[in-house]
Amino acid sequence: MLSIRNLKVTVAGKQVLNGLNLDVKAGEVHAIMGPNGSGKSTLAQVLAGRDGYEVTAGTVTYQDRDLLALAPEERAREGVFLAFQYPVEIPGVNNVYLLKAGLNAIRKHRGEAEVDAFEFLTLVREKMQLMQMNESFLNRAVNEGFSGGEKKRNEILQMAILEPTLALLDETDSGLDIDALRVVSNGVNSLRRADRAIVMVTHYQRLLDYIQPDHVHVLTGGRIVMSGDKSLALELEKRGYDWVKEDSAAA
Amino acid sequence: MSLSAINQPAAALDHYRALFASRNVPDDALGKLRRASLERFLAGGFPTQRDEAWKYTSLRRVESRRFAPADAMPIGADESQWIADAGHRLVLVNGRYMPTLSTPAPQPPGVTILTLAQWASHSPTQVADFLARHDHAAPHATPPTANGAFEHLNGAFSDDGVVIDIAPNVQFEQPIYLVHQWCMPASARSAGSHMANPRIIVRAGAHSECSIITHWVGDETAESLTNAWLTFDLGVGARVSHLNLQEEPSRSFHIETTRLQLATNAHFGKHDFALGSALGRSGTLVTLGGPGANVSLNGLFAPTGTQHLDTYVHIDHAAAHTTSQQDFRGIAAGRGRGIFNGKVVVQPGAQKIDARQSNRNLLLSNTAEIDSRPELEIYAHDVKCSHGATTGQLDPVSLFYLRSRGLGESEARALLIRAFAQSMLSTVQVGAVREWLEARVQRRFDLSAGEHS
Amino acid sequence: MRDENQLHAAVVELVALENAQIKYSTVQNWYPGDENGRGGIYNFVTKRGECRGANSRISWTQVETGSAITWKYPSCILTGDNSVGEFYSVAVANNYQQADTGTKMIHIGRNTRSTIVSKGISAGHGQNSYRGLVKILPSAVDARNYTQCDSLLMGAQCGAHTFPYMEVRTPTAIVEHEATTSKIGDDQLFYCLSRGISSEDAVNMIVNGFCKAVFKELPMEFAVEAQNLLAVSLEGSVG
Repeated sequence: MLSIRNLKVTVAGKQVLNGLNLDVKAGEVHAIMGPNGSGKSTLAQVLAGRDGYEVTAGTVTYQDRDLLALAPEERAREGVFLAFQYPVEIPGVNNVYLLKAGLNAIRKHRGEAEVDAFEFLTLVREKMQLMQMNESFLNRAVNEGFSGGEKKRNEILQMAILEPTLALLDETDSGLDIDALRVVSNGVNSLRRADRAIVMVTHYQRLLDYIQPDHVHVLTGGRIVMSGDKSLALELEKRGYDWVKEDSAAA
Repeated sequence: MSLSAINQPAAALDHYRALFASRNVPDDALGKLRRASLERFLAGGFPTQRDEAWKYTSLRRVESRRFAPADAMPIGADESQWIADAGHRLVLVNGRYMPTLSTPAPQPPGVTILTLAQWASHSPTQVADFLARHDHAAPHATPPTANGAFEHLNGAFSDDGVVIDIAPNVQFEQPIYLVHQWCMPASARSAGSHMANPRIIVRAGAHSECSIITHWVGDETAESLTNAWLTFDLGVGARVSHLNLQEEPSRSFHIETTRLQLATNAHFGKHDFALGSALGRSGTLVTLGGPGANVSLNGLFAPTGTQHLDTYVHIDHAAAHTTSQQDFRGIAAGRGRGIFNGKVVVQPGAQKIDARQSNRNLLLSNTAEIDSRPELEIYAHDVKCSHGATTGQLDPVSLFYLRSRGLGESEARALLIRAFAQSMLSTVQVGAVREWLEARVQRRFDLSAGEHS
Repeated sequence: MRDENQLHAAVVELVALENAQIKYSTVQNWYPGDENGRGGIYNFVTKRGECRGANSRISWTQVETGSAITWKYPSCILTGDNSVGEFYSVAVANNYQQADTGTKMIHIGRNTRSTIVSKGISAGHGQNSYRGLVKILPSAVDARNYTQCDSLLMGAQCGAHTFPYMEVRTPTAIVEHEATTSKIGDDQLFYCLSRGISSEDAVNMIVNGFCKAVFKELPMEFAVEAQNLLAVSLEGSVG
């Protein structure tokens, strides 16, 4: 589904990703772990198409297409979804309006009919229940005045409604207490499907207790230096990132 | 500078001198006031950009025209330009009150609505007294004179106007919807430029409440100057809300001066929307005259094309324990130029003042301009005053967020522009007006957003 | 002391070429006149700088405690791409002093930056004005300005005035201005007093805290001098 080859990215003249390789197949859940500043979030942002990241080398192929050639909205319509680490507050833009506009843009792109207001509201209510979100959410502006936990829930709610093919979760666990983490993880787990891939970027192993990955990768110095199954995450938890750095330096 | 350029102002003033002479103004109390207004106008002339209050607005185009008062025109109701169900309707056409188009009598209890002429014929001394008291050019007056020239011009040439009296303790819930319409017969269109000098006076008695909507619309075919002068006089504890909606056509000049006088514990809230005209200036000059008086002003100015829209606010905290809030937003597109000048003055001895001012602007094209000048002038020490002003583009992170959810770029831009304006619209209480505005704003900014893609 | 006035009218012009940096610091304590406003210097100074080269920087820092009247607007014309202009100012007006000061930041080059931090302190009958222009020309793509302008009032007869002008003609520019005016905090004063600090010292501490963002821009020995001058200028202003 997703194939990244030798990806090099600079941000404001500074090399952040330095020859990264990654393959993700449908149905898989990948966790990308790494210390602060290793380039984890950059990877997520570049895949979603954010400005300000310069790709200096490498390719990203998504469903046999050159992902990097697409505008952010085209990626979204093709099924790429980024759950933001810091969801943006947009005063004056209603939550539900954004969800509906996004869903309809995607449906239109797929050649499907737009949803009507009633159908849509039924759908949103159902998914809100899953995310244990309050009814008042319907009338609020996008993320405005939301707590950290509410923002993250809102991201997963959007994911549940937009039904992406490739979901990128950028530090979705950061700033969450245990209860909120459980709700968010349940939401993500309920969205695991054979035709959908999920890539989680995280600093801590904690999230992986709730969302079990098929593959774990360690990102440091702008490339993936070690890959394994979920036992790798436990190893990391025990021995810290320095262990990987030493190890990869030795190799 | 060429000789003709130097001579032009004098020539312009000669025009108004001759015009006044041709109008047989009677020698009664009112006539004397009009004559005095003319003399003051002629003495000062039109303001120039050397005048700080007009630094960003050139009046050369206004000065070069020879505006003549427009005739009354019998017209039919023009529901396409008016807001249906906005409230108790009063219609002025070319500056003159049109009873046949207005909501018919009987007037609601406690509310008296008269034309200026009617009021003058009923109680001429009362009128002369009121006008003299609100003549801010008089030497004793402390309030600002930023729009003075236009107040004098209005005072000299005002043929008609509306006086709204709310009796003490009356709460009039239905909004009073005053719409000013331009209408020119085909024969007048080539006959030069026309002006209207409507005078609107609202007197809210002690502890009364009312809501006023003024709506300025026009006639695309003619060149016109609307020089409106509004006076609000609020008694003790009175509460007045004013919604001002300026949608003059593209060839018109719109100059408007709103004077507010607030007594103890009075509250005035204004929403000011400047969308129309080639050159528009909204001047709001406030005197907070008694403790507990509060004024809250907000608004949106949105020049596009080659529009020039100037918002001028002057709040005079003349008494202790008074408060003011200002929240203005500007959106400039095309070759539009938007100006915000908000001044807060705290007079000596006026302690315990709370004044807040915010101006946020969005610049949508590289040929547009926004000039912002939030000023504080404080002569007392026990005060809390603050202002903030920003000018910038749409937030790139928000834009990316919306696009990452599947919205196209121009759709995302339009949505963010509307959201920026929305915070000004959502405070409008009258539902019919809010919906009208939302539709206008949406249409307009969908176009502006499209300019970029 | 003298009861007539003297004029000081200096001109300072700076030019910074490519990658050059100039930091110009001033501490001014001319005779301000007596407590009734008699005598003192008229300090009318022209200061302007041009960041002509790419990546150049001009930084004006001033502490104005003296003079009967100060009119002074150190300015930066930011012509070079990526050039930076800064203005950090503390101005004190006590007794009958008038301080009218500020800056002009004219953005012409691409990606130019300016920062303005102005702290005005008014006491007695003193009048303090900030007057500043930020102008962003169409060529100044991605220009940024941030202005912070605070006034502290001590005494019922003094005044503090803020006259910012922001003229923006570039959609990619971001211009931000914030200003506050308030009297010296009663609760802050009380807190200090209740810890055994004299009211004079408490005022000095609070005023120094208020000016910190500017003082830290001064060279070390200047900063100490400036703090001492501030204390002298405000002597007897609270009691």
